[in-house]
Amino acid sequence: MNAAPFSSTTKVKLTIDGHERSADLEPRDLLVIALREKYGATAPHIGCASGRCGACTVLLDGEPVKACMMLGVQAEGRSITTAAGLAGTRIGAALQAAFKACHGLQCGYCTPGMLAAAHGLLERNPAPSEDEVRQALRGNLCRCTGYQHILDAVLLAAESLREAQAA
Amino acid sequence: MIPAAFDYAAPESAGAALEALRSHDNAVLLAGGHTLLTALKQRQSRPGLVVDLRNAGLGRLEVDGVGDLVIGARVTQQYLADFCAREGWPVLAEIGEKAGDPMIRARGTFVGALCAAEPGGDWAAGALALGAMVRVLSGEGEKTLDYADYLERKAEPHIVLEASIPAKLRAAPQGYTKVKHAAIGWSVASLAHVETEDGPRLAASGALERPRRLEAVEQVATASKVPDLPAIDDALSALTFTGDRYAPADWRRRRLALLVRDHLHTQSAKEPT
Amino acid sequence: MKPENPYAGELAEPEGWVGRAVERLEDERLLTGAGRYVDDITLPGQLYAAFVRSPHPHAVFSQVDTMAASDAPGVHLCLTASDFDDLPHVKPNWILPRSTPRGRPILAKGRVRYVGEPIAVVIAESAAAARDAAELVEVDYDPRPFVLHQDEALGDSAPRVHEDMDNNVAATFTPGNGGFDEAASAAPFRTRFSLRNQRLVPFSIECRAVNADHDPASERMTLHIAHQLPHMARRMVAETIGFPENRLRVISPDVGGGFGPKMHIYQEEAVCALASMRLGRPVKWTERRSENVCNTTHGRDHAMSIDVAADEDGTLRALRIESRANIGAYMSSMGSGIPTINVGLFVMGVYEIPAVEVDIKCLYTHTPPVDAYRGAGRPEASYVIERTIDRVAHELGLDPAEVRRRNFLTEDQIPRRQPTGAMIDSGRYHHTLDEALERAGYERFRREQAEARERGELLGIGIAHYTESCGVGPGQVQKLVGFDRGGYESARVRMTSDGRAIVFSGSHSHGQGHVTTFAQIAADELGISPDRIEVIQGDTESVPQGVGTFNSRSVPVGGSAVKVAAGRVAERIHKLAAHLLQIKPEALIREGEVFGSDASNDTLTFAEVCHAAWTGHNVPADLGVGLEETEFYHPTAMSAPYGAHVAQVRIDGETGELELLRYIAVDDCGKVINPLLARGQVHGGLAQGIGQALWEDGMPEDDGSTILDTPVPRFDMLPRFETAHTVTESWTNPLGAKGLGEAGAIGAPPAIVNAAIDALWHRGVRELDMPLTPARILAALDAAKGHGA
Repeated sequence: MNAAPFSSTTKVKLTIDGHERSADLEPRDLLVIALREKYGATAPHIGCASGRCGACTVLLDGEPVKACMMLGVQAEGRSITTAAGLAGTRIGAALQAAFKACHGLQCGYCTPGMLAAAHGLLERNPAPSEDEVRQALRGNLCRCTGYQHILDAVLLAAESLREAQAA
Repeated sequence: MIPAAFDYAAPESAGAALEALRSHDNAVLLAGGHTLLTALKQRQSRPGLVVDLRNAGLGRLEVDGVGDLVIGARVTQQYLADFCAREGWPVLAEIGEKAGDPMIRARGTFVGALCAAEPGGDWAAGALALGAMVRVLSGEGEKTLDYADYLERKAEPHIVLEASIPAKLRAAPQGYTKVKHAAIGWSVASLAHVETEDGPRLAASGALERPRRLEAVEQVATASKVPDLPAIDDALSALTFTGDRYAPADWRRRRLALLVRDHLHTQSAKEPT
Repeated sequence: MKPENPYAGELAEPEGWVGRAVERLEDERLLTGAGRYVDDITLPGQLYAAFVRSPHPHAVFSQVDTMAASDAPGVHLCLTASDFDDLPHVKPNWILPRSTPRGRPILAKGRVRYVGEPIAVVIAESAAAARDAAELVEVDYDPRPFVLHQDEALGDSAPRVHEDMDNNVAATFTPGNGGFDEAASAAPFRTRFSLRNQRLVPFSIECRAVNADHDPASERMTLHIAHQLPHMARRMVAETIGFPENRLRVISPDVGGGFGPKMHIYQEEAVCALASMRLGRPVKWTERRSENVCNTTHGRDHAMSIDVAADEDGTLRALRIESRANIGAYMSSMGSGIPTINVGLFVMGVYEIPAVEVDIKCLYTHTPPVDAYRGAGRPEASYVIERTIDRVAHELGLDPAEVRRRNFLTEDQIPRRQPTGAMIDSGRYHHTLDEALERAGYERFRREQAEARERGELLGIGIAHYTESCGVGPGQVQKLVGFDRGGYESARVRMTSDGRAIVFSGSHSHGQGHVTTFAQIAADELGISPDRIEVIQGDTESVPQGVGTFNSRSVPVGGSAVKVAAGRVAERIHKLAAHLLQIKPEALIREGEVFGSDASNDTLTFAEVCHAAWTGHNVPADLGVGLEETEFYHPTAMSAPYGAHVAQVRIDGETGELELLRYIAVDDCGKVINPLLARGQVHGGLAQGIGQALWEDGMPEDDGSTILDTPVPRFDMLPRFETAHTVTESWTNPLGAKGLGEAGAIGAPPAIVNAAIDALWHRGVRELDMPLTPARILAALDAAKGHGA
């Protein structure tokens, strides 16, 4: 991308769930709005205006970020993984299975963000304690579950990943 | 949720970024974005130009030749916290566990947090307790300032290129105690402390209009190892406290005084008699 | 994959599908980001709406200047109240007798009555263009005096919210059997106190959303709405804008949480529909969080005073409750019913009280309208009676558990209609309380508490033995109280030719998991596994007229409809199989998927019977073609689930900080369809109830605005919950179920506040209002200094 200032739309290329995509973005398009409106990737959701609900969390080059807290143009050339692409990762698949087994979701609206944040945790810490799970996911609001089944699910996923690793 | 329209530039050097900032009468700087983006989304900030530092380098994080910790403007909070967990200045590692959440720390920068110095900001308190310096680029060229002084004199268009933490406090006893707000988890009363040979360096976040070093409290603590609550409260009396319905100002003040008291008692108990 | 089960012992697993902890069938889509919520749907020719809202709690205005906005790039239409000859209003549909309903104008005309009230709308090519242009609309506000709190709304000098009314009283309700003064004066003990049940912002993570698509050629309109009651949404929009209901289709796809507010129609749905009609293109509006906190309905907001008399042993003699409910600036759809019927009937809880008088007034104020929020009236009722029991116990120096036992309705008194009108269908209160106290280690905790007190530590334990009322219906009862909706639920069960089934249900899940629970119910009736059953909801064009999901009615009413309809289909399958095998139905034997008899070797598979039904080649006249049954199920009565919740807290006397050490919930919702999902419902309710008790406060600021970041509980703020059930089946429906969705939100506030006061009573603290912020606890301790017992 050019270093000169621009105000009109510009073509931004990024990789979404393994597919190279490009779209015309305005500078003001937040990454989450760009993903949803311009790239048609509706897995990340919008739940607040303040960056505090985490429903839009995606993996940016493998690391969880809130997609409402950066501009789409800042993601140029980078790789985004949404809940739609998580099944293709070892950790993502384990989390999805565990969320189902533990009833870790109800309305499902916070779930894509919750999974991305949990993915980030298990990437860093394969054997988190309950408290570490709670701290790692404190940026993701859920109004349905009371969090306990999500906690169960993340612990279960971690355990199953460790077992698979050992085997 | 949709910012007002703005122009965008991502210059490839700090100098070019400063030029861009100076060339426009309503330009703002974007690093990690965790202060700016919120303001943009709510249209509380309506810049004409956003100058993004993402291509401008400034990613340096290292212990320099004299042993100071140098933190570039684009170093994220998580990267810094991980580094400090290995290399020293443990209060920064501890703040890394207690500030925001993993996604905020993944994008938010340490230097950006120092510049924003939000009332509930955790990093600024740590920087004040550690005596951080900041290297500032402005139209007058580069200048290194004490961070506490920098906060007093927000000036002309400028870029904080990096912050540095003095080497001598690398292994000093230090820590961060945080009381969280129920809504967001930002600090409502927090205390960063670094124990030096000259006495404790204390800085507070959350209860005040912005993070501050508690010099009056430090003096009381140096005079009496275990001051009582009224003495601590007295030392806090010159400060301006803020609050909201969940945690009113007078409660935050009391909470901070208790944090200070408990900290000093703990320290005193650790010292050999 | 099986989770290590920390939940063993909650419930035994049965043979059939009902009662089994089946994993959800709907999860796959949601886990892979393939959920389809309203905002995910973008239609060809899509336009976007942005609203201009009042920054004032009360102001008059004469001009709304939309010139600049109309000229802005990409703008197709601006609308204000003056664009309508006969301005539509969104009217309530639960209108208490003798109340004074004032519905919301779809766009404010000349006067605004709360911060956030919509005044104008801009429709544009993109959401950004609409938002940009909306900022250009100018309104000449003239701010006027306003009133935010109900305490200030009653006086003669209070600013009036509706200038055509003499005062701000929207409704009054006075249930009870009278005789309070006589009974109270004869009793040896009497006490009076006040409490508040604060206003809350419901805060579903998905905000509201609508996409209105009017097709000028067919004059039909489709509305995608994030809604709990698609059929009611259709009726309410049709009524509001005067559109033929038979040409209106409502689709509620995945809904990201409801909790009450998504069962109404607001200004935006009507405005988008009307705008789409004017433009002939689809118009989408997705609520922003800043709009959600001030235009979507709030919950609770009662100020109550209690006068109670008892014997020295705690036996209640008389109860008088006065409640002032703040219902906001307009009467929302259920706004007059929730604070009156849903509170007044249930203030006696599970207790026998000889004389009861209740006086409830609903008041208009210059605040966002208040309506149902998880529990909807029953949390307020349970809070006041459960706090009252503890107050009586503490003042008399008695054990709160024992005082409950002394006043419980006993099994031989149930079923019972309480003097306030509440119907109690079933209950074994001693049994459930004992179970909860046992799990909580009540006696041991009391000893630890006494020891801790010696050390100056503050421990407290609180009990809430709530009851509530679920599964609204039958309709005749609703008519009496002005609730103009059905009291039934629909289900249509259709077999397909391959031996699978489709269940159409008028209930609508916004997270509860109907796709799974309803499949379990149908599976037991049909004798097939739930994964062969597709549950369809949320489309008025495919689902028979339904009522929808609220009041924890989906299982007891909606589930019963499924059971009845599926039962009838099963009967038809049986008869048809017998017919095809040329035997008497009584001789038919089914083994798994195969029908046969002892009479011959002829057999038919389940799928073959279904296939034969739909070809219709050989069906008896009395059965007819097909395998499909529709049921509009009316419950006999509402049911009264109940439970015993116990909270243990520690309070730091210096900081006022409260730590929730343990929370034990033993709920009795009758038959449990799916223990895994039931537990999820309890957990979610508890989180919201604990949020109310400790943190949340939706009351607008002094300038009438509502803060964006209401402190809803986060992951690191809640303990592990300990849950269990007792099962006392209800006779009001064929499932024996009673509803569970709201239980946690009802039980938690009184349990926690009782625990906090239990910790502080000996220090002289008598009352604490929610949320129990550290500052508030500390202030109460400071105020009580020197008054300790």
